[in-house]
Amino acid sequence: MQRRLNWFQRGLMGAVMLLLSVGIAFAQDVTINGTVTSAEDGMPIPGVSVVQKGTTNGTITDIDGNYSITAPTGSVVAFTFVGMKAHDITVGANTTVNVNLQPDAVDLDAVVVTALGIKKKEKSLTYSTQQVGGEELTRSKDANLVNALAGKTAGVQINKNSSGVGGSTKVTIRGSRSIGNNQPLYVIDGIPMLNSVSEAPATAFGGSNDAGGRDAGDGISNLNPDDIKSINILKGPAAAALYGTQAANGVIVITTKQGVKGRSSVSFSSNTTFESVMMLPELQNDYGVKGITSWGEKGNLETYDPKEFFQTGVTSINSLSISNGGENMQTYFSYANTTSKGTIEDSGLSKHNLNLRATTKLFNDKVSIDGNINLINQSVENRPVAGGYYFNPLVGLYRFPRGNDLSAYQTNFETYDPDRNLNAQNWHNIQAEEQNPWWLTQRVQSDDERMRAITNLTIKWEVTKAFNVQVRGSYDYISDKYNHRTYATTHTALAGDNGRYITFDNRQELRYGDVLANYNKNFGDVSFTASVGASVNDSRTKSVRLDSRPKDLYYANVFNVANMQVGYVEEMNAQRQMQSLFGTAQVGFKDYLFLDVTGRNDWSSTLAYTNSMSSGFFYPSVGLTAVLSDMIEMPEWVNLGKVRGAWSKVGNDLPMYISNPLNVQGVDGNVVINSTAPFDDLKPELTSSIELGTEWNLFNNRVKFDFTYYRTNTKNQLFTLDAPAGSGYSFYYVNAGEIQNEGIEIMLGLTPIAKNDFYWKSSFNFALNRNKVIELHPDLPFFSFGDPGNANYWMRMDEGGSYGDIYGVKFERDDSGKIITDDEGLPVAGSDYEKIANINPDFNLGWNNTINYKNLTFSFLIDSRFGGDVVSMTQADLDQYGVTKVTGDARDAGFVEVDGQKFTDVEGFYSSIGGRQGITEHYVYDATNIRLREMTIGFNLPQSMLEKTKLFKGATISAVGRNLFFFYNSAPFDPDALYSTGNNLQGVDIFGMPATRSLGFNVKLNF
Amino acid sequence: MKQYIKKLMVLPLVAILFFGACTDSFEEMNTNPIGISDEDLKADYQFIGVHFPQIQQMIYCNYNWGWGVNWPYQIMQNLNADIFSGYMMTPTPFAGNVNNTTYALIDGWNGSSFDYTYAYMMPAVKAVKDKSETDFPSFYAVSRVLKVLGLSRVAAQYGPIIYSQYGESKTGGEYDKESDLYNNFFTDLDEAVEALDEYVAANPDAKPFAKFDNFFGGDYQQWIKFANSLRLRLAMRIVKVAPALAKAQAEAAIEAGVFEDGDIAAIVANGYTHPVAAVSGSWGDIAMSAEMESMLEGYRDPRINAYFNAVNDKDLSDEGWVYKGIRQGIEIVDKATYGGHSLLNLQPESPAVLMTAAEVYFLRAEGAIRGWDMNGSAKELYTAGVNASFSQNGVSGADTYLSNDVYPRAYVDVKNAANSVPAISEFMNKVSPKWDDAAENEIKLQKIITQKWIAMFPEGNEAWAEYRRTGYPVLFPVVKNDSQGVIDSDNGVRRLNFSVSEKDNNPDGYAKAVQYLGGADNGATRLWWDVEGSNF
Repeated sequence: MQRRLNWFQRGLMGAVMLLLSVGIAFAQDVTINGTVTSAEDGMPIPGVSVVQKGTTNGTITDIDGNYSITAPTGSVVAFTFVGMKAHDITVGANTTVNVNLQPDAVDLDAVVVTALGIKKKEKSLTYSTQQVGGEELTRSKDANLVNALAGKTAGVQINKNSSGVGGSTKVTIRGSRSIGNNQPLYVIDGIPMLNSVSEAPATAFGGSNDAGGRDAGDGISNLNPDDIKSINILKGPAAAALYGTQAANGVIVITTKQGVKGRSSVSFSSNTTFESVMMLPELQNDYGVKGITSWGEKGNLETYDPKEFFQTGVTSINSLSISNGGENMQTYFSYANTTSKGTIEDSGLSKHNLNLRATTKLFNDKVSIDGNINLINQSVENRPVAGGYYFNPLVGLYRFPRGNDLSAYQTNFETYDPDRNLNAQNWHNIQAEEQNPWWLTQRVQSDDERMRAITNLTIKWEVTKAFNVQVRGSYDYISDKYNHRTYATTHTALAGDNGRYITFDNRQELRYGDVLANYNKNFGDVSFTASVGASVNDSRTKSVRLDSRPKDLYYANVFNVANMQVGYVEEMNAQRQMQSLFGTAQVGFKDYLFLDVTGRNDWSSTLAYTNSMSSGFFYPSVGLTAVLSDMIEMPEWVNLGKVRGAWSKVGNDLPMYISNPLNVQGVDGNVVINSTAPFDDLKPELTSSIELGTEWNLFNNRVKFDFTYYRTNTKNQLFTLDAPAGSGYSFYYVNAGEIQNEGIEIMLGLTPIAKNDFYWKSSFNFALNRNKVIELHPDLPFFSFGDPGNANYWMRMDEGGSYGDIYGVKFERDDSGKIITDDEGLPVAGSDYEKIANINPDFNLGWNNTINYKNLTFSFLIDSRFGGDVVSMTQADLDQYGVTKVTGDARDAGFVEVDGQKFTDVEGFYSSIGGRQGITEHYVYDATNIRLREMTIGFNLPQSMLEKTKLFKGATISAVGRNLFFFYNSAPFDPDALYSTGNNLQGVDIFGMPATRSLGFNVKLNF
Repeated sequence: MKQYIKKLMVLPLVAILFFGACTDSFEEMNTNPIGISDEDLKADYQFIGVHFPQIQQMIYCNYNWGWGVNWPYQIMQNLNADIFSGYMMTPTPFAGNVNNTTYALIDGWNGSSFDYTYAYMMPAVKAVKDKSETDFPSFYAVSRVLKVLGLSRVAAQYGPIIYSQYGESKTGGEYDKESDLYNNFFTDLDEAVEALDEYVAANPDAKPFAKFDNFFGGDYQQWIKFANSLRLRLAMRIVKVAPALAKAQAEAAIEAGVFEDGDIAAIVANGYTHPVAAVSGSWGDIAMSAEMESMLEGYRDPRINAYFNAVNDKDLSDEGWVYKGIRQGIEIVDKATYGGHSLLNLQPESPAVLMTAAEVYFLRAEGAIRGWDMNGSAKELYTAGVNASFSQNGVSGADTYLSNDVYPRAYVDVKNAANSVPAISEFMNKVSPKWDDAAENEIKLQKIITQKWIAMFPEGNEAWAEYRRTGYPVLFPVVKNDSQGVIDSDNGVRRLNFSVSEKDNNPDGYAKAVQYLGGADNGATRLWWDVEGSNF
C-alpha cells in the first residue's frame, strides 16, 4: 500500500473535512458506515476523504479506516485518498459499505509545475527536478524559508549569512559558474520575483566606503513560509531553459496556497524558538595582559567568557490563514507576524505578512481569474554586521587582554568628556578595527525598513478543451530605507569628529507580463503539448546613498541629512528590460516516450549599442525521456523505470551600461571620467549543459532512486582587463573563459516501515560537483575576486584551478618540506601568494527522516558536507593577540609544533604567523562537518480529544530544533556560515557572528 | 480546432511587431541617467571646464577619485622625491624599515606616480583635447601647458614616458625617447603660448577659464608667463646633453616673458587641500630632513619658521633644540623614536606651490653664468631670487641673509649618535648664502642651486631632479642601504623603476622604454639629462 502523507497532513486534511461536515446534523435519508482498506495489503486506511459528490457534505475515515456518512439515496459518494484510485459508490439500501481502494500510480501521473508555470506530467520530464512540500519548510521553521531547504535536496547548497535573522542566503545549484551572477531565479506562481541584495560585505574590513560589513537581506526571506504549498527546484539549465537569459543558475519555482473549491479551513500556527550562540572561539584564561595583548605572565586569572556578551535570541512566528472554498470564488487569506530578538543586545527584527488570493471562474467556467496581493513590512533594528573588522563588537570582545576587567568597559562604555560636553567612547585600545563592544552596540545604531508589495493577476481562457490562452501580469515593489548613525568619538578612520551618518533609500520594481497559449491534444498513440508565448520583464532600481565619511557632520551626534557634509554619494536610476519570445513542445508516444523541445529568444536592453542588439540571443533545449517500465515487460516489483537526457544552451544577463559608459559626477562637483573602454561586441554569458538521468521506483514505490549526471560549460565570462596606461582607458572588457561544472546527484527515498500506525519515511540526498576553470583569457593570468592587500586572504581563479580557490601566504619551506626559519628561529613567510585552500566540498549528503507512530511524529535531518576548506582570520587574529586556548596550551607545553617541527618561542611564533597579514596557510581548516540540522517531535491531538473541545478540528504540538549540534566539525566556527552571499569572501570567517542553535516549540491549530 | 492553431501562429507575429517597436527604447534604458553628458554641462563651458580641476589636482596629486585623499600623494611623491631631494624624512619605519628611504625601492609605491597620472590625469587631458581642439583653442592651450607640467614631473621620476602616442592604441602604448620628449614639451608650450597670445589679442577682457582655474583665476597672461617659465625650467634641465637647444629655448622663454617677483604658480581652491599638510600634520608620517635643519640653522635662515614646526619631543626641547630634522636612510625601530621631530608648517588650505618667481630668477642666474642672455647679471638675478623667496614666505631680512658668510651647521642625531654628521664632513654643503662674483662658476652654481633648493621647498620633485642634474646641494648619504648593491650610497637614487603594471599590460612598450633608458630598469640608472661629471 502506498502512503505518502504523514500524520500532519492527515490531521490537516481531517480538519478540513471536519469543517466541511459541519451542518451534517440536518441530513436525512441513509446513514452508511464502513471501513476503507487498501486492496494491496488489506490494511485500513485512515484519513480517506468521503464526500457526497456535488456538495460539501463529507467526512474522513478515522484511525481504523472507519467512516460514517449520511446521504440521500441515489446520491454518489466519492472516496479519495492520495496515492489511491478514487472510488465512487451510489447510496442505496446498504447501510454498511466497505471500500477497497486500489493503489494508483498517482506518482507517475503526478503533475509538476515547471518553467513559466507550465504543468507537466512528472514522468514525462526529461531533466531532474526536486520538489519540497510546504510542510517540509514549516516543520522546523526558519524565518527565511529558503534556509529550511538545506539538506533536503541534492545539488542545492544553502548557505546563510552570519548576520542573523533577516540576513540573506546564498543558494548555489550545481556549483558556481560565473564571475557575475550565481544566484538562481526565483519564480512565484509562474512569475519572476525580485531577489537582489542591495548591499553585501565588500572587503575583509566591511562594506561600502568602509561602513560595516552589512548584509541587507534578500527578497526570498520576505515571504511567509506558511503561504508556500510547494517548492520545485529546476536544478539544471535544461529544466530552466525556457527562462533563457535567466536560466543559467537554475530556477526555484514556488507554488503558493490558494482556496480550493469546496473546502474551507482556518488554521493558526505559532512557532517560538530560542537561539543561543555556539562555536565561539576557544580562549585561554591563564596568561595575563601585556600591552594590548595577552602575552603576559601566567597567573590565577578570573575566567573570561565572551559568551556573556550574547543574549538568548527569541524568534516567534505567528501565522493565521483562512481558506474559503466558495462555489463561485475561492479565497485564501493569511497574516503572519514575525518578531525576533537577536543574540546581540538591542538587535531584532519585526515582520508582518499579509496575503490575499482570490480565484474565480466566469463564463461557464471558461475563464478563470486568479489574483493575489502580498504585503510585507519588515524592520530590522541594529542588525549586526556579518563580520569584518569594522564596526564589529566581536573584535574587541575576543581580543580583550586576560586579567583586565572587561565589565568596567561594559558599564562605562562611555565617559563624560568635559572638553566637549559629551560622552566619549571608553576603551583601552581604540583602533579602526577594534572598539568598545558595547559602544558599538549602543552608539552605532542602524535601522532598516522594507515595504514590499507583490501583486499579480492571471486570466486564463479555456478556448476549447485542448487550447487555452493565458495572460499574466505582476508588479513587485520593494522600498528600503536604511539609516546608520555613528556617534562622535568612534575611531576617526570610520567617522568624523562629530560622528557619521549614512542614509540609503533603495527602491526596486519589477514589472512582468506574459502571454502564453497552450495546446494539448492526443492523436491516437501520439500526444502533443505545446505552448508559445511572449513576455516582458522590466526592472527598475532607484537608489540614493549618502554618507558623511570621509567628511563630517556639522554638529555632533545629530543625525539628519541637513547636518551632513556629504563625503560619499551613490546614486542609481536604472531600468533594464528583457523582451522574449518562447515556445515549447512535447511529443509523447504511447505515454512512454517523450521528446521535449524548447526555444527562447531574448532581447535585453543591456545589449543596446552592441552588434547583437537586433538579433538578441536564442536559447534552445532538447530532451528525451523513455519510461522503460511501460515500454518493456518488467518484474512486478518495478513500479517505474525511466531514463532521460537533455541538452540545453542558456545565458546569464549582462551588467548595464558597459556598451555605453558615461562620465559620472562625484562629490564636490568632480566629474569622474569613464575609464573603461566601451564594449560594443559583448555577449551574455553562455552555459551549455548536458544532463543524463534515470529514475526507478521499486517495491510498491517503497524504494525510489533517482540518479543524475550533468556537465555545464560556461563561456563568455565578462572579464575586465587592465588597459595599458597609454591607451586612454584604465580597463577594457572581453568575453572569454570557460568554467566547467560536472557532477552527479543521487536521491534515494525509502519507506522502511509502512504499517497502519507506524510509518517511517527516509530520504538521502547526495551530490558531488567538480569545478574546473578550463580557460581564462590570454592576457589574464588569473581572475581576482577582491584585493588581497589588507589581509592575506585572496579569492582568485587561475586557469586549471577551480572556482573557490583561496590564495594566501604559506610557510617558506626547503626542498624536503621543512619550514625555513630566520635568525630568531621563527618561520619565514613565503614571498608570494600561493593556493592554500579551496572552498568546494567533495560531496554533500543529507539524510531526512520522518517517523509517525500513532499520534506522534518524529523527524530529524542530518546534513553533512565532506571536504573543502575554510580559512579563519578570526583565529589568526586572536592567536596573534595571545588570547586563544591554542596559544595558552602552547605556552604550557613550551612550544608550538607544526608538521613535527617545534618552535619554542611561542609568542614570537604567533606574533609573526598570526594576524591579518600572517601565514594564512596555518589557518586553513577542513570544512567537513556533520550536523543535526533539524529535529522535531510532534504530537497530534487524537480525534477523540478534539471532538471534546468542540472548537478544534486538528491540533499539533511539537518541539522543534534547528542546527542542534555537530557530530563532527574540525573548524573553529560553523563552516557553512557566510560572511558574504556575493561571489567574493567565501570560505572565510572574519569575526563572523557566531552560529546559533535554536530550540523551541510549534503549535498548530485547525478550526 | 484549426482556426485556433492559426490564431496560435499569429501570436508570435503580433508579438514580433509589438516588440520591434518596443526595443527602440533600449538605447535610452542602457544609458545611465546618473551619467553626465556633454549636453548636460553645456552652460559656462562646463563640459570642458569640468575636467580642469581634476587635471590640476592630479599634478601635485590630491584628487579624490573615490578612494580618499592624501595617501596617493604620499606614495606618488612624498616617499620618493620629497625624501631623495633632501627635503624631508619619514619617522615611520614603513615595511619593517626596509623601503625607499633605505634604497629598497618599493614597486607598489613607486609605480603609482605613473599609474595614477595616466589613470586620472591623462584621460581628462584627452577629454579636453577632444572637446576643445578645434572650437575652443584657449582651453586647449591651457590643457597643453598643464599636460607638460604634469608629465614633465613624471618624466623626471622615470625617464621615457608615453607622450606623443598617448591614446593611439587600446592595447599598447609607445614611449617617447627622452630626447624627443623634451622637444615635444617645447612644441606643446610654444603652440600653447601662441594660441593664448592670439586669444588675448582678440578678446582682451574675456576670462572664460576663470571658473576652472586653480592657478591664476582665469588670467591668460599669467598662463603665458607660466608656460614660458616652464619652458625655461625644462631648457635648463637638458643643458648638459643638449646645450645649444637649452640655450635657444631659455633665451626664447625670457624674451617671451617669464615669472617676476610676486608671480607664483600654486594650486588653490576647488576643494583642493595640501596633501603634505595631512601626511605631516595629521599622520605624522613626514618630517624635516637633517639637511634642512643643518642648512637653515647654519645659514640663520628666517624661513625656517615658515617651513617647519618646533619639535614636539621633551628629550629634544630639554636639550634646547627648537628644530630637529631626521637623516634619511637610517635605522628606525619605531615611529615614536623620531615622531617628535619637526613637522612641516603646512595647513590643508596652504597653496601647493609648483613654480615660483624665485625659481625663475635662479634659473636665469644659472643661465647668466653660462653666458646666456638672461636679461640681468648672475648676481642681480641671484639676489632677486632670494628676495622673491623671502617676500613669498612673508619674512624679512633678506639683505642680512645675503651677507651671511656662514656654512651649514653640524647635524646631531639625538636619538642615535651614529647618524650625526660633523660640520667638517665632506657631505656638508660648504657654500654660504653670500654671493661672490670672484668665485668660480662651479661654486656660483652651487650657491644658486642651494638657494633654489631652499626656495622651492617643499616641491621635492623639482628639487630632486635639479639635485641629480647638478649634484647640489650636497646631501648626506644613507647610513643603511638595503638595495642589495644596486644603488650606490654616494650617488643616491637616480630614478624610479617603471610601473610594474606596464610590464604586464604593455610588454612591447615597456621593452622599448627600457631600450630608450639605455640601462637596467632600476634606481641606479641615470636619465638622459643626468650626465656624470662637471656642470660646465
